[in-house]
Amino acid sequence: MGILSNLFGVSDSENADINDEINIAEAITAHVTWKVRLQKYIDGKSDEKLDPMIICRDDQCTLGQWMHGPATQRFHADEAFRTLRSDHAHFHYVAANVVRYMDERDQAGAQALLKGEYSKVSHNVIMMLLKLHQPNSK
Amino acid sequence: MGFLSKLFGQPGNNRAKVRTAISSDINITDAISAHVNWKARLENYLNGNSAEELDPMVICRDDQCLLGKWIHGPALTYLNDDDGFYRLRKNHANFHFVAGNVVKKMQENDKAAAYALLNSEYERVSSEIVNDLRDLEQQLADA
Repeated sequence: MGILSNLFGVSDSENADINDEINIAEAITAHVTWKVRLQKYIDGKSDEKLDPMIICRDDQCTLGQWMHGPATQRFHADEAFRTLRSDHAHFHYVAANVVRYMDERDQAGAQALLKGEYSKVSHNVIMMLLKLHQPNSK
Repeated sequence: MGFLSKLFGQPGNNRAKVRTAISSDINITDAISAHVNWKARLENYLNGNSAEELDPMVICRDDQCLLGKWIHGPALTYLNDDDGFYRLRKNHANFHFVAGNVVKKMQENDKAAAYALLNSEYERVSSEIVNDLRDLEQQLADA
């Protein structure tokens, strides 16, 4: 990855193109915010009606639409991009499972997943997005 | 636009190379069978004749089956600029989403909704992905 990665070594003009396609800062916020949304859901303090089947999809959020569209054309050969796609899919899968545990009245299971697997995969996705957001500080 | 359409402007040996690469990376005929077979698996599940433990969240993922691994892996190398490929990818994700939902409805004890989904939306998304795969299979055969 690293040295050979286009994803984290984009040129200024490519960076401008990417910024036209997606606001990475907002994508980071959206994924960081999931933690709070899920914790509220677990705590019974959420007004949201969360559907695990929708959350599970990795091509519905703004980041997912970008990754499955323009970003694939640009970065299809990039190992880091493929890792990001896979981690992002896993993120949505785990987030959906947190909701599903709650829907099955398994609060302990939901909380354990949020503290464990969710934290790990969320960290992976966010770190990659942060690098993508600041390509020159890799 | 069909698969490999961008490649038709290229010299024949490149097209042949891509066809060979696809054929060695994935058996499209097997992928068709696997997706056609889901109908029977889901029907058995709904009828209570299934010994399978189906997890809607796992089914929902479009990158776990053999076709999905190809779509998100090697296929990108040669089909990343192909409109047909993007359509197939979308249709495949929709297929898994709807199949997952059939199982989810069943697990929520809503058998009627599960059947309704299987007989409507599922039929549509299934024929879309299977048609895409048959199209691809055909083009691989037309050497």
